[in-house]
Amino acid sequence: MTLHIRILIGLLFVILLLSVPFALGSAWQGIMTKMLIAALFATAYNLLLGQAGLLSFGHAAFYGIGAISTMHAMIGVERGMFYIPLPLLPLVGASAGLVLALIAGLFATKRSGAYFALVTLAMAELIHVIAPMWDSVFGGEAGLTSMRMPSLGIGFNSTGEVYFLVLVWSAIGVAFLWFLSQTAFGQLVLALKGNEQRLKFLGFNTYENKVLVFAISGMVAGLAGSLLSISTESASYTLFSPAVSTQVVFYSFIGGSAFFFGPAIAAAVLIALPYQLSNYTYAWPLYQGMLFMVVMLTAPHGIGGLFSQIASVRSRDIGVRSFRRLLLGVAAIGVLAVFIEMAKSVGQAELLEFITGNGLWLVPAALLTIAVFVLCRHSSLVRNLMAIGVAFPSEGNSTSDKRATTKKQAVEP
Amino acid sequence: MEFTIVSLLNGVVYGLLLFMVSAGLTLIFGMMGILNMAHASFYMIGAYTGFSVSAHAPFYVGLLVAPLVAGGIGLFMERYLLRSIHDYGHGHQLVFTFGFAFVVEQIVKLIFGDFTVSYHAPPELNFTAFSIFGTQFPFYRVLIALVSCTIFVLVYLLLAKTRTGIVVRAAERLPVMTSALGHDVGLVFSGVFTAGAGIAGLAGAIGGAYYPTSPSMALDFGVIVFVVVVVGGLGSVAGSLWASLLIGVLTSFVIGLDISVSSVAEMLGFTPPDANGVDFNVSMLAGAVPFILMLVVLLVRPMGLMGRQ
Repeated sequence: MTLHIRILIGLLFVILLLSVPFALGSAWQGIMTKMLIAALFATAYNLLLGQAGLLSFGHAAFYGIGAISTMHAMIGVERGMFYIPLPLLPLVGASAGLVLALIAGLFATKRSGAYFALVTLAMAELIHVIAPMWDSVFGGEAGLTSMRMPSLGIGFNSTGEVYFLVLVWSAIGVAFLWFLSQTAFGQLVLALKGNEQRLKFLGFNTYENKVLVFAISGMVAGLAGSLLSISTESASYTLFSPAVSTQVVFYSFIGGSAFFFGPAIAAAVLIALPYQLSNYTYAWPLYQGMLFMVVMLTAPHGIGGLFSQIASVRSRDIGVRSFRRLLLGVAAIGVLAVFIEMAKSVGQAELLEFITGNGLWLVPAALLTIAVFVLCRHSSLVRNLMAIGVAFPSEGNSTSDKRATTKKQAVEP
Repeated sequence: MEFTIVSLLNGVVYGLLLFMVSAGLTLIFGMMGILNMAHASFYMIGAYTGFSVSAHAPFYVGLLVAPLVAGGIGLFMERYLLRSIHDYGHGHQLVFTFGFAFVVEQIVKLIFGDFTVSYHAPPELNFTAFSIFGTQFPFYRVLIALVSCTIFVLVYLLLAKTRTGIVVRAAERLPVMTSALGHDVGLVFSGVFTAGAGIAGLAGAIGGAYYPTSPSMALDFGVIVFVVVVVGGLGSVAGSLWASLLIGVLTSFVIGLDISVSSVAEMLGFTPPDANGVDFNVSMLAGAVPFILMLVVLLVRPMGLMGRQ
């Protein structure tokens, strides 16, 4: 993409973000606020995963601490104990996230790989377990609530005003991370993912840099949490739950962690979809989890990675094949979703009779079987079946060059 | 004395159940390096299978069916899902199993509802094994402990004394060499994964009838199972037994302790400050014990208690 096109897309995007809330009313303003917060959180997380190559399972800790600390500040302002203008409150959450992430990072970054993931998971779980018991800090099971106070001549009592506050801070957060990735430090972070050993030989202190990047990621995650608590006027210990960390891991891997905006786009889309479907869907988290699994099976570098594969001449064929398998997987989820929703709305007994009576069950069963077969093409059973021409016509060595470039594990039978 | 012994007994039983769930993961993690986040999901699958079966058939049938169902799902997962993303490295496998656990939890919520189901041991097993200090100790807990010990002995003997065990240990240490000697390493991996999932399923069918069976049980257990594996040491079955017992006993003691900040202050001669009824009690930390333990072990001795360097 040339620079001009990029600037044009960027401008269009900004105009969209600024104008859409006026056109769509307050319900959508609320949803878009949530989309922005999730996108900021995902981008902060991806600084760690996509750029530094550190897989954290405990980012809920920083998100949560941002929300809780902001809530305390809001309560303080409400009671007149001190005065911080509302638009500056996110700084409280960001600093809380920074401090906690700095402390956590000092320990966590001593380990790498799976052990790093476990340390972060244990830290977040530690807070999640203690928080509901510690009323004075986390507000116990009920959590903390407060009211937005008018400040600087703005009432902050409509969703539209909150939306613009969140928009400005999200833009600042994302822009900060973007420019950070363009600096020399950003290149150093990328090198941490690429070859840490070599960086050490070149004389860099990789430990200090990892702590720093961990702290920055935690800071922006805290900012996102802070924006959430401002928009919902509440915060509780559930923000620390592993489900929150799971969400952000899903966003990053579905969007493609190698791309700066991939996780943010995935987060925004995955937040918006259930609202769009909320009148119909019953088991959205299930579909989201299955989508995640399908993406991991068919396009391990995320949807962003898939698009870049398709865009490059060298790997277009692989990309297109992966894309076809992805679509098939998504279609299978769709069929399954339709049946689950029907079962829930019609009642299981009637649906069962309807389906079995007409032989309709063959349709989802066949689709699911095909999908599973195509998704698991690497497996020996499918390979054998393909060899005797039962299953799909062979697609050649579609993944062979991908395999050659990644580390080949010796345990392949 | 009474507190010590009762806590010790409770802790040992809980620890032995933990061992049953984590025994398979120890082998899987040690052999394949896969941090299978979905391992505790097999425990949940076992418990819900036992629950479904017990509605139509005797309780004991469930104990037979549960490991088969859990093992079958484990086999499918290893053979058709994990293997196809094997080439992308351990990070991807870790995240994938994470997603798998999430999906299993959602499916269970969809089918059985988001609440604790009433899954109990049959009445003929509900009798007191012995009384101690006036506290009756149920026979069912003794049964849990016995089954777990049996499994430990079986796994240990299988690994240490049989030819299959030698192949499994060889495949764990040097997979390429083992396969060069003509052993099907892929089959060994599938076998270990299936057996591990099956044992976790059995633990679910037995333990789920005593401890609550709800969709959140996999998550509650999931992280603790990791703690066991990490604390015990990579691939060490004996290590994970010690780690399970340690976590069980520690948790059980901390729950029973009634030491709070104000009581410590009083003991030291300070007047406790009025904290509006909010006082920090040590027993609040019971749920946090495993995580503190894991953090300490990961940061101080990452190879675990009995792991290799």
